[in-house]
Amino acid sequence: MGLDYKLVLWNKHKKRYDKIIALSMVTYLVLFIMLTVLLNPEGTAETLIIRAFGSLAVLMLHIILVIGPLSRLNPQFLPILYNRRHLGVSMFLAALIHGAFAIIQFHTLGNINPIVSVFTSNMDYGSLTNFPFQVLGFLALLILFFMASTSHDFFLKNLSPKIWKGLHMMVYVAYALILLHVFLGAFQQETSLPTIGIMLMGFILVSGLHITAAFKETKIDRKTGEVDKEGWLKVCEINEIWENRAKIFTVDKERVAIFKYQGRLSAIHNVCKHQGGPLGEGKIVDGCVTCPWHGYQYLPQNGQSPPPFTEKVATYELRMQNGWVFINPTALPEGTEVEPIKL
Amino acid sequence: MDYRLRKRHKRMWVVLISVLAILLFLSAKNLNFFPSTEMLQVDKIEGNVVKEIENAEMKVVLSNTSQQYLLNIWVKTPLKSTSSVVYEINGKGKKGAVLGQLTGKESYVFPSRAIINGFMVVDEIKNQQILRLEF
Repeated sequence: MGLDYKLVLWNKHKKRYDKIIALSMVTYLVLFIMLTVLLNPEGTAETLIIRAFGSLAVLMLHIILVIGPLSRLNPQFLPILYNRRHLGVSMFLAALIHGAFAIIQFHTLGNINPIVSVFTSNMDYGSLTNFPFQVLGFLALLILFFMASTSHDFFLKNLSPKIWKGLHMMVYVAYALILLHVFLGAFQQETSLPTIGIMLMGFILVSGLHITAAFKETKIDRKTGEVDKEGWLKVCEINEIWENRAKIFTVDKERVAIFKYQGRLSAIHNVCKHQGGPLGEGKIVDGCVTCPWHGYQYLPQNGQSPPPFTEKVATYELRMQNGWVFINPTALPEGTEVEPIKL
Repeated sequence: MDYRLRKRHKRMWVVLISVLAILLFLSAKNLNFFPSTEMLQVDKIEGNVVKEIENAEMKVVLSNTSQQYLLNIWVKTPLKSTSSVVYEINGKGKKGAVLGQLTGKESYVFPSRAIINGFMVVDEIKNQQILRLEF
């Protein structure tokens, strides 16, 4: 967690994660260059750089896009979500090198502004197979630039997590543009079944995982429970919740996490204030609910981050009756103290 | 993600999958993955066939009419060179007159008043000879 946007959590895990990203990128580039030199020695150095960094960026984008749905479908993938932003910024840098070299190679030798040339050198906008694919790549690069430059916690804090997350969903539009950029660009020069096969497999994997995760979430959203005379929702038996863990329930279309800890029960809103992580999939660490995504913490009895941090989430009233847990579906204002149920 | 973001996320993917699937299908449909050998048939060639050479990269047919010789070239694979200028090979076996230029996977017809003994393809930018074929 950061206060005043200081990188207080630049811990050994993040450093190790970043080293893995850097090493993997270098390994990929070296392998790509070696194979290309062996198999296609006639190519120029500029072409080699454009293709190496372009394919690296596409590969990284696919990895980035599958992390989210994989984590929603199976919590075992949560550790790789921890530092996804660094992976995103690294991917943007690879895409930027690809784009910069492509513009230098193909658009700087004329007397037209290179950026204007990207849009005007091929005006076959009415054709699908001869479409000016570089325009699609350029637009995608603009979106990735916007996302990389607003990835810092400063923007997250000032835009609000909801708006920030909504804006960062633009990555899906960038993915669509990049997919078409590669698909149309590669095939205008070389129509090969292996290339189309790899791209289609990537598309099926990414879209399949996202849509599966989305439908799983919809199914959970539609779950309704038994409501008693006072309007409280009957959610589960007490022994269904593990110690220092939570169970997540849908209350009025929002998710609520009920935590069991030190012989007590408390309920808080399931969405972390940092990046919307699922608090109920985290656990109690040092008496605090700890978000599984980036380690933001909240006190279970009042939904407040421990001082000096200021994040707050909504809390809910609980009641126990004959071993069953009931929840009042009306959320209390964020940070409201609620006496935990003693077991 | 809260309820509204989850809903937006789902809608975006439903739209993206539908639009991308249609666009990818339409663009792939127009691409020629299996070049038909019909395109390379000799029956469309003007005049009488004099010589014929074929390899993995191209098919070359020299034909003649009553007025001229025709060098028919079908490029089968993408050209790796930036510039591919076709020259005839003169009587001394050297680079002769320019017949034309190859720009990609297409069929070309280059006419010549005199008999063509062979031709060479030269990358003018790198000043390299890419191909030399003699009949």
